[in-house]
Parts: sequence; structure tokens; C-alpha cells
Amino acid sequence: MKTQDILFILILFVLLFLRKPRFLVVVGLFCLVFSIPLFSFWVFFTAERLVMYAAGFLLAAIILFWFTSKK
Amino acid sequence: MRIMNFMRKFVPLLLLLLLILFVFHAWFLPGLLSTFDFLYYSPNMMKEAYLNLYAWDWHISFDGFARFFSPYSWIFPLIFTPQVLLGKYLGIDWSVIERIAYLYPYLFLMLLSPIYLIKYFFPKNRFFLLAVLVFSFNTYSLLLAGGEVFLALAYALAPIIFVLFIKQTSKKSLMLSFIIGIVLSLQIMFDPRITYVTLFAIGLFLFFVICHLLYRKKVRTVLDILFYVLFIPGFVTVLLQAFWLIPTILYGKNPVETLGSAYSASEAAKYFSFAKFENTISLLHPNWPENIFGKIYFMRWEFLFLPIIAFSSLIFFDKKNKKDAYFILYFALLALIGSFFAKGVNDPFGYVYVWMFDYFPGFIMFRDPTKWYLIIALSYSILIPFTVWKTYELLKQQNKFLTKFKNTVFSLQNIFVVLVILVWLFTIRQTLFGQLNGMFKITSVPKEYLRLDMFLSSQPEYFRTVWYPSRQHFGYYSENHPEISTQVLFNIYDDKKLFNKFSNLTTKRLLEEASIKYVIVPYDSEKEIFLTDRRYDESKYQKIINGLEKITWLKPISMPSNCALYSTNCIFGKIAVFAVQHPKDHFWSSASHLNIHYSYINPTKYIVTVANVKKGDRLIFSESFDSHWIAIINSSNSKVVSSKYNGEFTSFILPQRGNYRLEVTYTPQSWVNVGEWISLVSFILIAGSLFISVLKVKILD
Repeated sequence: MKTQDILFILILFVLLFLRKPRFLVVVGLFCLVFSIPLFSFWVFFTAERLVMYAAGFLLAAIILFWFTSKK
Repeated sequence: MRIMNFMRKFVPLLLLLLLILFVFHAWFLPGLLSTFDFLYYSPNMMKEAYLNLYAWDWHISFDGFARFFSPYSWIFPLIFTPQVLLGKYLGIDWSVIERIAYLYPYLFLMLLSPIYLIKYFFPKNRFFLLAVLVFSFNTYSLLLAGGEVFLALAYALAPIIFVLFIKQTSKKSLMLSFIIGIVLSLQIMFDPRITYVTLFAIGLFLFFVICHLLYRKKVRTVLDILFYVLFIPGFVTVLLQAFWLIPTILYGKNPVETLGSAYSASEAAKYFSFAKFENTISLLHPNWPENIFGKIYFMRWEFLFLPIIAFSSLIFFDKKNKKDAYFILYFALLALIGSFFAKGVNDPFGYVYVWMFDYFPGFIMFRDPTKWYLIIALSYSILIPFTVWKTYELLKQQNKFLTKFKNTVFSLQNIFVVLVILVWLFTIRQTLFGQLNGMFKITSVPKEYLRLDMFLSSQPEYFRTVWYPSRQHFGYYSENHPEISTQVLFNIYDDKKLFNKFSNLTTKRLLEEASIKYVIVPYDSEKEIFLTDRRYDESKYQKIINGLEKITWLKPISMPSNCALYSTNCIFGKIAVFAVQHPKDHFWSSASHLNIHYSYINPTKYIVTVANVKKGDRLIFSESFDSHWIAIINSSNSKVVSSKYNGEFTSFILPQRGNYRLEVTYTPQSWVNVGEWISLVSFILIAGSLFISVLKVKILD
């Protein structure tokens, strides 16, 4: 597990604890935005990781939206 | 104001139609369109096409010679019906038939289908035409349209099927169930893998609907949904597809597994997983734009704007508008699942795909995971127009406070919409600059292939041709002159090994016994066969010609180089043709005293007369061995079962001396006949009932 993976998990847990799905969406979108310059400069490893984290944040957001909307 | 309204209504549609005309302009010009995956049929080939379906067929040459074919015959009515009706009977050229039967219907569907989808889920979204741009002008759909037209047709039908199913969860109408069954059957005939992916998306939606209903204890509604959405459409589909389902089930072997490990082993899925997660989530086909198998590019950053726009829709999640909110959640989830599957065995969690490929029912069909791009495109064609719509509304409200921009064409909201469209067009710029090949470019059949077509089709006797290393897609074949590729025949793709195998004396015997009369080295006019590092390599072609020239049991008929050396000419230009010296007939025997005559009835039935038979003589049928071939003796009840000859062919050991009249038949054909009748009668009844119900409604109106 790389340092950025640990950071991703930490941020994910904090955001899940806050129960603000919009925050998760925004962070997920930021991950995608940040990966753009990395891909353009061929820094692939981190860029690929950012896209995966983005998907993780977005998935968590969808699940959280689902549960919060039920209440 | 009037002008503005007119512009709002019609200009986007006009621009979209112009884009279609511009991108697909070759489809509106005269001339042939053909690729490796969308074949060409010459008038002579169409003359031999038939409407009947047969359980035994040599097409595609899965194992060199013919084989049990029914599991793969779902597409045959769609391939052969236009050929027979328009080509054989009306004498229309293939270049016209392909446009009428496949290409124009695709254009119609690619325009209508996404609009139908978005209008169902978000009828108030004024940017519904963006759905067409997203669904029909993405890198995946454009590569499909540029090569795999049947797959493209199945893809274009998916949104319609999706909406019909979802509609039925609330409508619960018997007629709609019938319509779903018919449209689903049509999609299966185009490509069953795309149907599987479409049904996956529908299944996920139904899962949420049913969970929701069960949570509210509405069990009766759930049962109704299961009946109208699953049971009736499923039953109708099974009836309509009976022509290949019945023989496949009764034959009792998994059709994908019988294709061999190249199709069914998880190693194949690993090999074909070209797309990475960043490709799939960005709706970027890994082979874009050249579509050369295995040639993948680094991630192109501009495509990341697509998931950013699509998933921004979640920001507009509004709890108060529950229906819309759930739709957005569903499509966002679907997009993520689609991205996850389309990347195949690549990170993250690639082992999940391997496990599903090995154990999940039906997943074995997806050694090429890119088929899952369909549900990403489906989701994005809802999510992206939704984001644009909501952002437009938001910016419009903000604009009220910016008096400088008020009521002008160059308002913030308009600039945003234009920017999104420009980003999209930038991602597919190769299309606009005419850099796509395949079905986007007019081609013509080289005269060499036309001459070869005449030469082969003018010979009435049965024989096969073997193409070394493989057939070029303009190459002639027919029921009477089937083709085989040496690569498929020997399952060898290494040039050196293939030549060693081919030049072996055992191969000479095999070719003769398999009724192979000609060995053909193609002229690679499309530069798709003789490749080194995916580039055309003339030396490979020359090497093969030089090698074959040295084989003593091959007689040169037409040679591309140095015509003066040979007694024959070089009428086929760069196509080299060699003759195998003593090819056997379709039915033959090693016993020279036998006198054999046969007549071809259809691919599953032959009448063979054999005279001067001694007990134990063997009649050999140069088709690959299948125990379902039998020979009925003199129209009686007695029959001869088939036995394997030379590890390859079907043969019959004749039990007594005398003369025979044998009816050689392939027994699974009776299952195909039953299935065909069930499909035909079901279609007539279902279509008839739909017609009558429409008529009733009209009369009542």
C-alpha cells in the first residue's frame, strides 16, 4: 500500500464520518481534475491512482446519497 | 423573439444532422463500404445464399472444416435475408444492399434511440440532443460503426430496449411485453453479448425497484412486474429464438467452450483487457482512433472532462425531487459499474473480472470486456445532458444579476453549453478531420479478386480453397467452394511454424482428403494480413510465395512475380494460386473398385449412390467428424453410423456387399426445423396480435 492509498482511505473515512455526500462528490471530481495535468505530463502512476480514488469517492457518495435520501 | 425561439428549436437539430452527414458522408456516396468485420458479398456469392437455416455449416471455419453451427446461427437470418431477397432475386449490388439493410437503419437508430431514452427519464431536459452526441458520437460507438456494424446495430437498439423495459414496470401491458420480446429478439440476432449487457443494466434497475416495493410490502406489484417485465418478454424471446436455442440445448455442449480455450479460458480475458480504468471511465476506447487490434495509446487527458461533466450531475442531487434524484443515482452507479467491467482484469480489483469470467453465468462471452462500454455510454447520455441542463439553469439565474450579459446570445449559460459541445467535438476530432478508416471510407474490390471470383465460381464441381495464411475479405467462397485459412486449420499463427507444418507431406495428404483444390496467397489490398508491428510488410508476402514455390506437390496456376517462368499467366495479379494435384471429391473412398455418385440437397443432406461395394468398404465424407451424421440405407430403417477417419473426417463403413443408395443426413437438422417453425409461427401470431390491437385502437378512436 502506497502513501497516497493511506491518504485516500483517511480522507474517505473522514468524509463518510461527516455524512456529507456532496463533499465526497466534490473531492471525487477534484481527483479527476488533478489527474488531468498529470496525464498530460505522462505522470501515469499517480494519475491512474487519482482516477481510481475519484471512482471510490463517487461510489461512496452514491451510497451515502441513497441512504440519506431514504430518511 | 420569434427568431430566437426558432433558433432554439431547430438550429441544434440542424447542426446535429449536419454532423451526421459530415461524419457519415461516405454512407451517402456511391461505392462499396467494407471492413474485416463487415464483409463483402459478390453477386456470385449472393447467388448461393439461402433463407433456410442449417445445423451444419462451414462458415467462419471455426476448426477448419464445417461443424455443428446452430449456436452461432442467430445472426444468419439477418445476413442472408437481404442477400437473397435483394441480391439474389432483384440483382441489387451489395454496396446498395448494405446501405438499405444495415447502415441507414443504424443512422436512424443512433439518432432516435438516445432521444427516446432521455425523453423518458427527463422529458423537460431541453438539451436532449446532447444525448445523441454522447451516445452516438463517442469513441466506442464510432469505432463500432466504422467496423462492426452488427454490433453497432445492437448497441443502437439498447436505449430503446432499456426504456421499454423500464416503462413496463409501471405500465404492465401485455402488448408492450410482446413488443419488448420482438425488439429484444432483434438485438439478440445482432449480437447476444450486447443483449446481455443491456439486460444487466435493466436487471440492476429492476433490483432497486423490487427492493423498494418489497420495503413497502407491495408484494402483488412485484409479482405483476415479474410477470409482465420478465416472464412474458422472456417467453416471447425464447419462442422467437427457438431456431437456434432448441438445437443448441439438445446438442448439449456449451457453444463458447466448444470454440476452444482462445475463447473460454480466463487467459483470453487477460489478453483482451486493453482498456485501463482511466480509459473506461472517460469513455475512451483503447484503440481509438486507428482501431488496430492491440495498438493502444497512452491516456489522453482531454477525455477526463467527460466523467467530470457526467458525475457533476451528483452535485445537483435534489432530495425533494425524489424520482429525478434516484434516476441520477442509478445512472451514476451504472456508469461506475460499466467502467469497472469494461477495464477487464486491469486494476483496480482485476481479479473480480477473472472470477466472474470463470464462474458467473454468461460472463464467459466477454473475453473482450469493451462490450461493457455500452452501459457507460448509456449512463453518460443521461448524466451529461442533465449536468448541462442544471448548470445552464444555474448560470441563467446568476446572469440575472449580471446586466452586462443579459439577453444576449453570448450569455454565460450559452457559452457553457458551447464549451461542453466543443470539448466533446475535440475528443472526436479525428472523426471530423476524416482520419477514421473502415466503414468511413469508400473502397472498391480489386479487379484481381473479381477475376478470381469468376474463375472459382465457374467450376461446378465441389472443392475447397485454402488461403495462406488467411483469407482476404474480398476473397470468394460459397457453399460449393468453402474456404479455410491455414492459420485456423492448423491453429498456428507463427509464420515459420506454419510453413513447416504446411510443407510437410502429411499436409499434402490432408489437403487432398479434404477436397482442397487450390492454395491461395491473397493480395493484401487492405493491408491487414501481412503485418510486422502492425504495419504492412511486403517481405512477409514474398517469403510465403517463395516458400510455396519450392513445394513440389503444389502446381502454380497464377503467380504474381515473373510470369514468364510459368506456363500459365498471372491473371490474378498479386494473388498467387497453386493447385493441389489430386484433390478428392466430397464423397470418396480409398477402395478403387467403388463407383460413387452423389447429389447435394442441402448442407445437412446428400444422396449418395455407391456401386460394387465389398463388405467393410469405407465411404469417406470430407467434412469434420461428428457422430450425428448418419447414412440411411435405401430409404429403409437401417442406417450406418459415422466413424472417424484419419482423426479428422466423417466416414461410413458399409456393412454388406452390393449397391447402395444412401441418404446421408445430419440429424440435429430436425431440431433446427422444429425450432424454425416455432420461431416463424410465434412471430406471425405475435405480430398479428399487435397489428390487430393497433387496428382496434384506431377504429375505437
